[in-house]
Amino acid sequence: MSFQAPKNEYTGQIAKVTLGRDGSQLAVGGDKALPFYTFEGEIPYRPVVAMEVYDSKPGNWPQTVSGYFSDVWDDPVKWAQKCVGQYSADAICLQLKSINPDAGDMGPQDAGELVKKVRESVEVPVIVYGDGPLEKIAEVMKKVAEINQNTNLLIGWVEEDNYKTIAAACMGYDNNVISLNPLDVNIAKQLNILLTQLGLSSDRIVMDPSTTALGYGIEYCYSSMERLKIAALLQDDKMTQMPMICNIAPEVWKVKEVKESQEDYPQWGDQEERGINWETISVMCTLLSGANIVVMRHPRAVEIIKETIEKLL
Amino acid sequence: MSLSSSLLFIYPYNIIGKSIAVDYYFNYIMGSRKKYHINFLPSGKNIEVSKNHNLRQSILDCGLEIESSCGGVGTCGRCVVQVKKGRVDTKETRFLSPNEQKKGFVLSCLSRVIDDIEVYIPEQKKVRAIIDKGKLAEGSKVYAGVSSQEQEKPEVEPWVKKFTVEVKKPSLSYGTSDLFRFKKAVREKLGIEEVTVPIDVLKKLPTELRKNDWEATAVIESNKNVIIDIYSQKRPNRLYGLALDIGTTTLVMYLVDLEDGKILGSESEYNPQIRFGEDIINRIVYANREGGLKKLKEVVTDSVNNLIWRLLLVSKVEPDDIVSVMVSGNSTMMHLFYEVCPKYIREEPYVTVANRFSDCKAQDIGLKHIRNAYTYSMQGVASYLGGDITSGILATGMNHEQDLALFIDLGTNGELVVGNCEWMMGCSCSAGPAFEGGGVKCGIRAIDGAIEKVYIDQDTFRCQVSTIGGSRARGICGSGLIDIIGEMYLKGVIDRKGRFHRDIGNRYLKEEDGNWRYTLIEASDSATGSEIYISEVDIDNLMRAKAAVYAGIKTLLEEVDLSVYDLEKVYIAGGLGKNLNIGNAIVIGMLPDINIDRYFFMGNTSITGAYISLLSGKKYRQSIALAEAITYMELSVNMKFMDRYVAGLFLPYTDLKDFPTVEELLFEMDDKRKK
Repeated sequence: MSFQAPKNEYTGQIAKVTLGRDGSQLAVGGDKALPFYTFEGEIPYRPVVAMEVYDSKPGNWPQTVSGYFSDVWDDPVKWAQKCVGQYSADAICLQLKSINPDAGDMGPQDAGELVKKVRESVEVPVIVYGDGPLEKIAEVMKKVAEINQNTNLLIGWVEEDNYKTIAAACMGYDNNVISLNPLDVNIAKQLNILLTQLGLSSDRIVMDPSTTALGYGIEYCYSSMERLKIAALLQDDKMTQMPMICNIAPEVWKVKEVKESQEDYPQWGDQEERGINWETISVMCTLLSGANIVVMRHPRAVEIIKETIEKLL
Repeated sequence: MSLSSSLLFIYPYNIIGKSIAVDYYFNYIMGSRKKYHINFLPSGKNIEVSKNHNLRQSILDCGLEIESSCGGVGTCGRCVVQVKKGRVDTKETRFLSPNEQKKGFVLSCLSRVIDDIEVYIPEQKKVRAIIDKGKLAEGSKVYAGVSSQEQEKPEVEPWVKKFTVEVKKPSLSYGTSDLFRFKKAVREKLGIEEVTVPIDVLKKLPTELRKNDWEATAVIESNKNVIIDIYSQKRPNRLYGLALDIGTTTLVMYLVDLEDGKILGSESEYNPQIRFGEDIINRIVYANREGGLKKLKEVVTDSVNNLIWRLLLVSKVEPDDIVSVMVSGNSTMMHLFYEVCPKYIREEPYVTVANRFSDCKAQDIGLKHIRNAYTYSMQGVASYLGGDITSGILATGMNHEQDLALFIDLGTNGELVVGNCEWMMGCSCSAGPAFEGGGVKCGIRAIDGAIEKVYIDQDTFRCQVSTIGGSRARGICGSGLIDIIGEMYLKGVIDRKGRFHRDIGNRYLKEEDGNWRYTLIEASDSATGSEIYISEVDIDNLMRAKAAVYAGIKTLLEEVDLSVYDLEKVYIAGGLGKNLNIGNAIVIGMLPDINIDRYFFMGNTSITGAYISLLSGKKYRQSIALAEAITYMELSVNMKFMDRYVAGLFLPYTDLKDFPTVEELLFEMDDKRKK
């Protein structure tokens, strides 16, 4: 008898979440096997590579990445269009930094309108992340959900102490929610239970496990994400079956290893190449451990990741 | 400025005759010697103290009680007093509102005496205490629900015995030593080859033997064959012993007839060390201060002497007839009682100085009245699994049974032991003092007026409570707290995270300083005149405690590849109130979801175990062997424990599969609500 490779028997399946509507519609999740294990089960949708767009000029980006976007700094719409048109982003992740009371204190109405403008200017789904105190985020996102109702926007984020407002708005206006947990399987589950008990359907939730960059504890992220995936697929634990998003670009591009120049650290080699590698490897780690959506920054890193996904699936 | 330079500085003014300078100088030198008078209300007691003396210390010096769990460093906010006349030098504290501060309320530990003052000490919560003296002292059915060997009557096998001995008279032709002839007589009488005669007995030997023409009574400790005492008279009296439990919170003592095991009396008292810190960590911290250990030893010895005195008074037993004392308690309490430095219990790798303290004469450890009695201590297992737990296991009898049993002691700490007659494994899951009312704003110990049962009306969310002793409510004890969380959860007052549902029209819910609270008893209906409530912060503390207990149980069982369903019996010990609602303890996910019939509430088992050991040398030796055979598991470094702990910060548990009965119950409640 010839050798037969052992196969995992999966009892669970990752929930399918629909992002965007009409022309921009995209699905994530639905996996019936561990990441890229196509030889064991179906993986119907490939991971989504989203690119970052900021609502204002970002402050401390290294030149090695800011150069690609300095022509569109001032206009999030153009920025989003550049990401989609020129760099083939699967989705746009709008980082609303200006709603933070310490960074502009943009009001809910303005934020909602901005999201709408960006969303209508591209034919890909839009993900929104807030910034600042939870109360402010809740206030803004409620309005964002209202102004962009029925568009399957993915809105971030909710935590255990502050989930009701945003979750209720997403329920009412047919949008999706990002449930954030501090790299903890139990807290992830607890938050998902609270959200579903509130009445939010489990195919409207995407988990954010608070991933970090390579060299800053990514091993821990890897194992906690892997545990969530294993619980979901092998133990059919419904409350861990939501797809995962890793908003990893801001983490990667703030570390010393991508910011220091070659002049200061000649032994580290070319700064841009180093940054691209850093982002690529960090993102690849999260994809291998189960991310369904990754948020990225450098165009070349995006290209490599998209190629790799293509090859693996 | 040194004294001499200040003298030089002030001197010229003195010559000029400016009395201000003289006064200043006088105060400077004499300031510390000047006495201030403090009058305490409502007791009317008073005391003189020197300037800058700590107010809380003054209260203690005066022999008055003042609550404190932080040991007087201003972090617990419990030692509030009101300065009615005069003024004190006090520090600001977040525990008092500006209004209260205006009315003269201060934290006594943060205040120094700088004036003659009158101070009102509010009624302390722990007055009129009912202390759980253990099942035996209640006179009711002994060992209810436990089918252990001791069920009917405790095994009596006295090991400190008295016997008369006739020693051969010496003569010129038979000139051996008194000791030689005494030993020979003992050998002939009891068949014991060699007895040890300690020096203090040896000192009495020549006179006592000669007093009654070479006939005397001797007391022998037959575990080690040591002669404890010798006296000339023939005493027909029976022999007695004392069983003592030194709990972190309470002291309990039995006076026992060693020949038939009868309990002649029982007395109890709060552990007076409480005022130096409510939990063991704070006590260890205090013990490390200069003179701290001595002070802690002193106060507890005083209380123990008090208990002895009271028992002697009531029972009319002759002090000399009390021949042995058996002490039980957790490792820290034992260290403090024997005045041994407990410092290393708290420092990694958390070791004790000893798990059992050397047998000694009662007088060696400061016990009065019964100076010659021999004192033994229960064998502990590790730093956080002490002799009280060994006692507990002995009391349950699980060390004799084939059935797999779990022993849970919910005291100031949560200790667990699982096993049967063949093996045992134990751990301590730092649950904190929440079940004794610590860390909960309206939490109190299981005393008169403590809320122990709660019912919440599904429609109005109004609370009905029953209290210990049926008196007006003055706070909530451990069993009450468990009941409240369970009840709030089942009636939909809180969500699974322990947060209040704010949108269900619950009018007993309100916000104060960003903290939400649920009123159980209005101020006008309580015994203390203040509202009795439970806040989200309180719930958080209880959630942590219950999560730690369940995580401990699950981790311990899994370590030996067992599940909760393998447990035939679960024994619960501790002073959290006798009417613990096991059902609600399961609903909140503290105890495993298994048949309620398997749970047995045992009360204070530490004293029971001490009593059993006191009566029988065989049992005592068994308990030592038992403790040595328990495998100790350190949970503080266990990742799985941490994981389950976080999973337990949810009602009843993150994974509902662990609590199938609760899941069913929740569906039923949901259905009811919908109808």
